Amino acid sequence: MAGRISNFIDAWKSIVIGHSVTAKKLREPRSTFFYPYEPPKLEERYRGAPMLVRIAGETDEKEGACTACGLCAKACPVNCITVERNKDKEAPLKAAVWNLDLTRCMICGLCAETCPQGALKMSHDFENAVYVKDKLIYDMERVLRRPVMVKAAEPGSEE
Amino acid sequence: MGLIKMSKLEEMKISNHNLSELEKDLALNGEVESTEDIVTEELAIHFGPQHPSAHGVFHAIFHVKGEVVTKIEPDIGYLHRCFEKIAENRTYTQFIPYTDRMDYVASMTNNWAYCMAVEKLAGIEVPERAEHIRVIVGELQRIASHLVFLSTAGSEAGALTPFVYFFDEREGILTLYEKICGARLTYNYIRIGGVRADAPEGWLDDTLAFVTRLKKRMYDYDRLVLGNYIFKKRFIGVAPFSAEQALDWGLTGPPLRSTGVSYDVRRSDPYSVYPRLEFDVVVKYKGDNYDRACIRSDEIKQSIRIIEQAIEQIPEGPVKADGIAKVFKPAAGEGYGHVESPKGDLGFYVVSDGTTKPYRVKIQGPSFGNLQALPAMSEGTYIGDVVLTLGTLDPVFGEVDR
Amino acid sequence: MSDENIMNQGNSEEISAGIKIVEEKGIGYTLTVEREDLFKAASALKEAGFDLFLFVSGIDYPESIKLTYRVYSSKRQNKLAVMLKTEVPKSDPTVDSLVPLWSAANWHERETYDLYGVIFKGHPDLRRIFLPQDWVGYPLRKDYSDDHMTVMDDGKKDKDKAAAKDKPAAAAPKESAEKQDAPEQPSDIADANEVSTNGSDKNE
Repeated sequence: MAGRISNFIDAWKSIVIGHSVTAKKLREPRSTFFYPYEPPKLEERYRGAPMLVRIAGETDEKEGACTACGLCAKACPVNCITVERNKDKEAPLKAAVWNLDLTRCMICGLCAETCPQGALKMSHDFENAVYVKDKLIYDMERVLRRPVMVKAAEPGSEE
Repeated sequence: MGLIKMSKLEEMKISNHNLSELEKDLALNGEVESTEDIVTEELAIHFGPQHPSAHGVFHAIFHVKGEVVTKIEPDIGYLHRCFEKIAENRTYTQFIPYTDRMDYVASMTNNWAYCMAVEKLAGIEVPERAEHIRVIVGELQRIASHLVFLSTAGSEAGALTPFVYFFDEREGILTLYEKICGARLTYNYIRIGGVRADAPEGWLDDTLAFVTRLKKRMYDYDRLVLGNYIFKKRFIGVAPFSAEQALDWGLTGPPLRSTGVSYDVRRSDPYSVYPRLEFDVVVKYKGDNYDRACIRSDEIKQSIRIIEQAIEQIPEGPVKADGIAKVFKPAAGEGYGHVESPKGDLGFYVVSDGTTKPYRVKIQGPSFGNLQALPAMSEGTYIGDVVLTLGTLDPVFGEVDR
Repeated sequence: MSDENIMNQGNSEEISAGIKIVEEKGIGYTLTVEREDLFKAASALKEAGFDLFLFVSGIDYPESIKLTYRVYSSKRQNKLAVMLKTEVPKSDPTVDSLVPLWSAANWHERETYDLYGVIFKGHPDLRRIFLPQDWVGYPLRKDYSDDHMTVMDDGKKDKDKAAAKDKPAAAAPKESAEKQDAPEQPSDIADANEVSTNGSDKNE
């Protein structure tokens, strides 16, 4: 009998504690947000899909700061970047082909870390869902269509 | 419960304390007076591979007699990606993001263990500041992982509200991680010879504020989950394990420490700056499900202590060792590095043949070793408790199957 | 194993008669034995207080497979962990099982059997653990290959990669015509399926 009474008291104590904790929680600000209607707050270092950076005012629309050295392609653990330099010897060192296969990309950021020009950065894009897989294979035009960014002061210092 | 045949039960020599209590209860209520005629057949029940409380893709066959489990045949490998083979085709740095995908609840410690093994292989000294940052993020990771443990343990016993509270707290840690390394789950933050980048402005203060707040709240959470009447009834005395059994079955981490063996890599094989930090290795002695749950809560408090000290001591300086070539090519040799991950003793054994790619990477996942003890631990308990026992071992199947 | 002048050698200790652990760079204390002596050495370690079995790892070399065990002691005061090393020839990859000493060796040995094909004599239940029971070959051996594998060579790009390179000009900028993109896929998808269905049985 004594056991039953103590059980009864214990059970009610648990309920009271539970309610008191919940009551405390009620006074705190809400920690969720209405995602599609409210954009999430991303931190500065947030890693989304990789993107090429344009130097504002220096290069024309199509190019960007990339010199097609190919280090990003070598650093990539999943081989999702393809870079080819333009064949014309007179032209400045620019990429002729810069493809990103986002179906494979695991957004590790190693490419952005290796880029000696600071031309490759991790964007804040996280809504990458598409209906057709082919659309996840980005070419340079697509990658460069992202917002214009100013090149970082010190190559390799970011991220 | 009327289906249990009492004589059969006695035959099985069940040492479970809960069971005998329940038997007494049933006898008192007169529910099992005439069960002699009821015949119970042994059933084989398939659990998983996709079961909401299996903590991943785990398949097991439970042989049950009535409600009592007589035999468990675990079947793993559904998440096997053979990272050890992948590692042989990647450079040393390229493999770091893969380690994130092993124990995905505690990616940071995976990064750390792997980098430590490579550092031992190549004989690299890590700068002080980087070591402190590693300790801070590593202990935050322990807190995050244990919070996930407490929430799932609670929800498996029916307590769904604390689940939300613990995930809310974990959200704070994920935000801190997003600030320092840009990702919330697969961090890829620790590098060979240091860390990816220094902590941003104000990050240490944010961390300190977070742990101070958590310390206050842990009191409430302990009472809410571990002190709960139903939680105690479900967890105390279930699936006890002795120290001898635990060592024999190769448990590490909290499940081993809950049996009274004080094996914590941070103290047994000190690494990083742990020898300079004050903290206690939490040890419990009964080794039942409740001890395995309590130990995690206590470890959160110790981790908070460590973080506070590390933030206080952290020196200025570089966060990456000098002289690491862009094409990292360690001399031929072997390196073994292990850390105390939230799940247990996580080790990497790296063999180099002098090229840019490792010749062999062996991953010693604590979840693999811990899960192995599940049959020994829970044979003879009720089928409803097996899920709890599995939960208290806290396996992550990304690490079991690798 | 039969070194006599072993005492006072700095970082080494004789655990029992003829069993000496030495410190090795990078991995701590090691003990290297012939495979015939493995069980004996392991028993001596167990008696000396090494009661926690942590893992066994195979390493594939052209002629042999090296096995590395790691055991830890919860009782000893110093030299707490030892790497126990042995070697088995590829022509006859058998070695004594350590399950009688440590139950924990069970799954670890099954894993090594699964991925390296080392046969542990006296193991109570030597089956594949990760891969399906009917899998052919041992994936962690260096000479293993099957059609699923993508080997990354520095110069070469794998074939998916080459396919991806040709596509994007057509695929990328079309925002509106999702449906029209779909028919372009089948050839590739069919290829991929072909490859994946007949995998696994190729080796050996």
